[in-house]
Amino acid sequence: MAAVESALAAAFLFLAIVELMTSLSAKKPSLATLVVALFGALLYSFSSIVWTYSLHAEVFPLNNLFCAALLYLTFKYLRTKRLPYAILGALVCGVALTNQQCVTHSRAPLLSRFD
Amino acid sequence: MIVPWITIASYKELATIKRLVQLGFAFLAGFSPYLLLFVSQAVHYGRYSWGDLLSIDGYITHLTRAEYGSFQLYKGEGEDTNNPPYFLKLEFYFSNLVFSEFGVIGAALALVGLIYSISSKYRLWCSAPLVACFAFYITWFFDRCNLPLDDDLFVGVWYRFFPQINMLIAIWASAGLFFAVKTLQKKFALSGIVGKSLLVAVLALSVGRQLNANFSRLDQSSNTYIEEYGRALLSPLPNNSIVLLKGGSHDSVLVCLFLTSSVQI
Repeated sequence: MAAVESALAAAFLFLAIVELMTSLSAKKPSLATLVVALFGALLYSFSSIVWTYSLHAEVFPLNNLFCAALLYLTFKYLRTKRLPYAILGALVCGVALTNQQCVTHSRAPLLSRFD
Repeated sequence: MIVPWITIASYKELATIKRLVQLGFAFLAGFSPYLLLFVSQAVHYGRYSWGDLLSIDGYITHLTRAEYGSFQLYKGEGEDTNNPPYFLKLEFYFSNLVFSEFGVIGAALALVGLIYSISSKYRLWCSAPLVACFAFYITWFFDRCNLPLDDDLFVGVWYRFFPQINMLIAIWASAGLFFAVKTLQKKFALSGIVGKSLLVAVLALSVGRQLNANFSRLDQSSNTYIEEYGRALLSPLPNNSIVLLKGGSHDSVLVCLFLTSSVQI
């Protein structure tokens, strides 16, 4: 389960980077955008701590999944300004807090973007 | 903390009560599993729960991790007697990041990406929250993290809190790679194919370096512990024994052996 959660975290991180790069360039995602997003996601998922703890039954892989999902929803909302992404972001915030409270330490400032 | 932050940071946009109520309800819906703790203990008499969740004091003790130390990772034997100096913690984190996690190239690209992402007003609106997240984490959380760094066990505990902030480093590394290749293309008039090849080459080198360094940490190809444990459970039994299972960790090991070999269950 931890391995699945870590893999999903990497997937959300990939999507988050695509959203961010699309926002920065104000164009549709290009091959270059997809390659740099893959670079960031793989750099993260094959780092020694994530790689090692993906097989430990702990709260951290799920916490990382929620953090990545929050990043993706933030960038998606910033680009599209559509309310469902903001509501989903608030929902994920609540669920993430029930898993591990230190998500507030790393993601609390993101909430200022859901306006 | 969260609701006042939204209210203060976005008060102009929150002129509609409807928007605030919608976001608040969505958050509470996500937070509702905490209600399950109360219900679970009330119905099952706290068989597998932690602490007294039927009283307000007990619930708040559970919610704030008071038994482990609220807003600190390690209760220890005193207040902050074991809290390492803040700059030692910063050095520990960044040296781990540069020399172990992302390597020198990944860390350098992250620095380039950070500067690129905040270098113009247009980008500031999406990069500022990331910078704020990172700054908040390495100031507030690192200050509260009072685990002793001279004990490998506690160092391992602290390592597990790094990935959530390393995501931001990965995002900046991506932006840095994009900006670096775009700049090289402009400066040396490189074609699009050369630029894309450069991107793929950096990707392959960085990921290859990480796999080379870290693959062996999770190589379970010679891991036979579960099979040996299962066979040790079965070895005292005579041949053609009938094993009755009712669920549990021992039983799942035997089921694995049944599925993978000739053990009959």
